[in-house]
Amino acid sequence: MSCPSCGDRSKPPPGTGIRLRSFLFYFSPDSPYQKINPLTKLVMMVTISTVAFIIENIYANLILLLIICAGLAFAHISFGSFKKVIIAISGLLLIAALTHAFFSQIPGDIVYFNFPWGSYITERTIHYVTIFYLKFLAASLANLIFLCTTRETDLIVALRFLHLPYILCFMFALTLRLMSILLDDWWALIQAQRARGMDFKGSIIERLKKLQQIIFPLLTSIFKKIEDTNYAILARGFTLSDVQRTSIRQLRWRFFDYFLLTLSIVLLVVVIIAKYYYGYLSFR
Amino acid sequence: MTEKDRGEIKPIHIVSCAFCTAVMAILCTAAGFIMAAIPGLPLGFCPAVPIMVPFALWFGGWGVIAAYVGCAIGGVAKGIPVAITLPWVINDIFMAGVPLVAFRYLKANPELKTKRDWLIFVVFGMTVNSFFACTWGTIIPVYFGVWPAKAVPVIWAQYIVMSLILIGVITPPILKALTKRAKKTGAYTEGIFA
Repeated sequence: MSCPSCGDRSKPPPGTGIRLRSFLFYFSPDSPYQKINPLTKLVMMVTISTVAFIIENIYANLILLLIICAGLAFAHISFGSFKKVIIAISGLLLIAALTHAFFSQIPGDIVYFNFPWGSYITERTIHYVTIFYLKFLAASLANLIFLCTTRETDLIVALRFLHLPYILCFMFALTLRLMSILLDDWWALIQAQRARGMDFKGSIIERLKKLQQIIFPLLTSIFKKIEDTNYAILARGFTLSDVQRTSIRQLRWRFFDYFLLTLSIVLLVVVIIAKYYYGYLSFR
Repeated sequence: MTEKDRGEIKPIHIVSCAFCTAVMAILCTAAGFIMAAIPGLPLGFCPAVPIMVPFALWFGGWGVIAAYVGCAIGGVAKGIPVAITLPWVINDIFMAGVPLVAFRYLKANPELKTKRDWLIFVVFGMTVNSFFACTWGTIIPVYFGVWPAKAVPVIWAQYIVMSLILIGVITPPILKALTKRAKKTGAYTEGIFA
């Protein structure tokens, strides 16, 4: 049985219980997102996160966020897997939102608090901060859906379809594969240093000095890996010349892919026109 | 490496760029999650910053490309929209590119053997690059509405102080200890890309 989106026979058939590895997590091959073309997913991620960023109307932001959450629920990934990621993203957004609250000067009818540096909090400040949080959360979740449901090999197939030079696609593919390998190395180094009694407590300077004990072995191992990988690719006949190559994986387009692609591009155009030409979906 | 090999872009440069990009992406993503986990940590704490300078000095333009692409991947992984991430992480081109150009043009040794090397590192590898990178990294988010304009001085100050501390504490030991090892790999560049 082959993959419906790219004809990849290396993917396990649905129902076998074998999970696939995306950029971040393992996901089920039964996921509906497996039926979508990776190029469509990439375009949707960019357009939906841009749409979420452009809209500055609290009701529209909330509706978009709910739709994106529903999309995340359809990905068939256990909530426990991405709970920490969402908490981390929410924490970062909260810091940014509070920065807006403390440093913006949005006039309103009721001034709740005046700061010594000239900023103040009004009811419209709270309104704006809420919009800010919702729109960036929606954009982040749109990115998260893509990262949770796409394998790096699928992304490379999409980039090859765009006729990007093979060297670029190869470099990008190698980078994506190395990320999970180096992350495991990073984690192993932290555990090894902890087993030797290292802790990360102390002032910032002390923590940075202790961080060197992880960075040094990581960089040393990277040099060795660079040489080994170089020998491996040279042994496989890799060259920098622009040779026409074929690929076992091909991008398959179905009606649903065209539909989603058109829908996301039309949505982006409509939102841009509505906001910048007619003034809808703006913060008022 | 023989004289014939110098000045030629080879597959090992592509491989080294991929490795450096992966390291940048991991460290840049980790920065976001560390900041969320440790309240009170100043803005601008990014473990990728002190590493991108050595990568640029060792691997030349490939290190600069790695800094940009890696931090762009890290930004998208942290949830920042692509339309904001791509212009925002141009600051990493300044952070890595300024010391690279300075070291190559002024013919300084990345092993920091003489006082002249140290001076060039402090001026171009710590101060000038941090100034341009932090200025860009503060202004671009304001343009896109990530930060309010009134917060620029505070955010800029935090960014540049953290950048100076990170580079000042972590980068010199890396350069002094590992440059010799980096020179033994075929990926070490004496020019910009070869």
